[in-house]
Amino acid sequence: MSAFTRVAIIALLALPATAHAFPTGEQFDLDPMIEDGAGGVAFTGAPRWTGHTCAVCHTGGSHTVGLRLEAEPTSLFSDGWKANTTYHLRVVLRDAKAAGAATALGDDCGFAVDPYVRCDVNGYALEVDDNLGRPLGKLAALGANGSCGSAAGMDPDSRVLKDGTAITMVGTHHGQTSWDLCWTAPDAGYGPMVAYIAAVDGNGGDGTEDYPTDVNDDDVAAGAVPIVEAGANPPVAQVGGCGASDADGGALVLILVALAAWRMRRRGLALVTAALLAQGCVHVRPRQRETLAQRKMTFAPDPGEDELDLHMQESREGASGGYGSAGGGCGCN
Amino acid sequence: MQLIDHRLGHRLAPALFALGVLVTTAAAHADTGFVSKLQVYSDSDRTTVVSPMVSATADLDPNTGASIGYVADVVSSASIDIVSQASPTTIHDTRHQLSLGGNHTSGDWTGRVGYSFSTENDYRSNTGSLGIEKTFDDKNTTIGAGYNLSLNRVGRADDMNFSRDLTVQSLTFSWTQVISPRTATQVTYELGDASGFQASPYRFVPVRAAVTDAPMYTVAETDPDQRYRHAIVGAINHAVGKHGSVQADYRLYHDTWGITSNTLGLRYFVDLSSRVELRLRSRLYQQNGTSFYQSNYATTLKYMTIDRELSPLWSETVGGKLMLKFGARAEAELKMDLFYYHYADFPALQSRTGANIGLGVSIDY
Ligand code: HEC
Repeated sequence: MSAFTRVAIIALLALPATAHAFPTGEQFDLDPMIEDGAGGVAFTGAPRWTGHTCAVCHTGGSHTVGLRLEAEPTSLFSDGWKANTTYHLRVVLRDAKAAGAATALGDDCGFAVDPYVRCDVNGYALEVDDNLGRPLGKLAALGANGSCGSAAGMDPDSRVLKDGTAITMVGTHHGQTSWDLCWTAPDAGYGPMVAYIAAVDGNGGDGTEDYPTDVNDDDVAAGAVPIVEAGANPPVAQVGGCGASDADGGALVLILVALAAWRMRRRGLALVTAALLAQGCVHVRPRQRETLAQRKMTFAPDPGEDELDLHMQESREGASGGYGSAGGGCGCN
Repeated sequence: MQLIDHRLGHRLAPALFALGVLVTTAAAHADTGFVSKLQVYSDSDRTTVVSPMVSATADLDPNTGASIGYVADVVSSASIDIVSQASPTTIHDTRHQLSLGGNHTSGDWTGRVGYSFSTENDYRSNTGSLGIEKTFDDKNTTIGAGYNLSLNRVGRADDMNFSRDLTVQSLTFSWTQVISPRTATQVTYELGDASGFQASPYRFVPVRAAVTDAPMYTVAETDPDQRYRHAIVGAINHAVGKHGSVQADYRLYHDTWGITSNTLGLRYFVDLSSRVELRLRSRLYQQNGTSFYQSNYATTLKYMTIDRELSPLWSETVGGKLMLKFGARAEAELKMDLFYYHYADFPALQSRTGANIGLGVSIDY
């Protein structure tokens, strides 16, 4: 590595965390209202986030990315987790469109270079929950010498959320497609667990310095990896997992897990932003939309019920319209 | 470069990692699901309506969805409405409705098409709908427009020769705006036009000096053939605490028959636990009568009706609904609404009360 690059990286890391800096894992902890953060919501797809993944906001990808979770010792997957054992885990984003073109540039992108070059920023979040959906064990970034348990390194891939319940990317490298982390299992007896993982194959913003990152045209992969407890009794049925099934305790095999490749397409920034702002409307960032995405915050939470209600009302009242369709027919009763 | 070195550094120990868990993408969509409901309506005017409904939605590809639904209304009624008809009796009628829908999203745009066919004893209707929607400003703003066309054929049971047409069209514009991370608003305007036969083929209006007198004769109900409706709805949803939300909406309605009405809806949603959600709601409705409505007709007029829907009335509905989650995908619901209708100027009936009870299950894939 050239001395120049090292300087550039340090400069990047030292940039203040403005809304338009690299989207860092730190943003998952920030206050949604004031600092454009996620308020501690990790979007791993775990039950405590009602299954929500990065796909709540990141949309429009081509649905080609996959995820792989690796572990050392590998007995984590073959025998199951052992109490108080530390595992080195690696989350790998497979087939990221990022990888080829972007990595060739190294970290020479973004504000580090002039003229501006779009950065390819990817990220992930992971947590390990028990059957009751409680995050358990201890998460940490990989230590300085590349092993778990040693002192923290200068340039870690991962950052643990403030409350310790999930881990996300640090987000300082261009085209990064794998992230290392450490997980120390809890005391024995918690039974089968699930590692919930979600990752974003980002593509930078609109290519300009004004929008260095955004949520458009980003692919999302998410999944749940079951991990049994070594030597424990046959596990209780899984609840709340997304596509997770119980692993066969002794099998030394690949476990294929169906993953949620959520997708909704969205692109472009508003032409009317200015107009709406002038009207006093606040611009709510996609990241702040966790609350609004809930069913109870939507305008037609139960269209089937609405149709029955409207049909009934239309046959008993003189007014109709404005609330959607009541279906056809006379409504004469 | 730094990044590559960094990666390679870790790859020196790949054997140790051996085979972990391979995770591949697969489709899992909130939009693929199945819903079934059963509602039972019963009121003090001797009317019972049992409405079973089933519907299924599926994603054909990640941007395209389709839906199919069936609903029936099984009505039995000995309402005063029917008693005042030529041959009073308890009627039994069933409406069947089949609907199909499709939607496609491309970028910021979403388009929808829908078709439904509804049939009952003496009434047949074909309805088509088109809609388009565009989001702006990171999905903070959604503007939509829709058009509906419904072609109806009105018959009269046991009268082969009676057949009338009714065409109903509507244009809808809506603007949905997120105004804060906890608040969203929506404004909808709908312009409706009904053209054709809008009276009841069964109702005959008595002509008499006073309501208490015996009718001199009765004439078939007649309503104007044209009716333009304007409805404007303003709605706001606001999150309350971590687990709740309030929704409020108000509709102002006016039509060319002279009805002006106000509707106020309020709903409160709260998660009682991670599996149980409660909704409480209230709906207040008020209207005046149409310009040609009279509680009694002493002579024959151009338009004559004894339809209480066209008389001044108000109503209040209150209800609760419990939604219970089973696992990540299934939900059951139980609901009950109680309602009261008050008719200010309808001699045959001053009020009606009743209940609407519903059960439902839904499964999402
Ligand atoms: C509630 C909305 C929201 C959720 C959920 C969300 N993000 Fe983001 N993300 C954003 C926004 C907004 C940006 C744009 C820039 C910013 O705010 O820093 C962004 C940018 C990014 C970027 C840069 C992408 C690019 O193309 O420029 C990455 C990588 C990223 N987020 C990772 C994640 C990961 C990983 C998850 C899930 C574990 C996630 N995000 C979940 C809102 C969200």
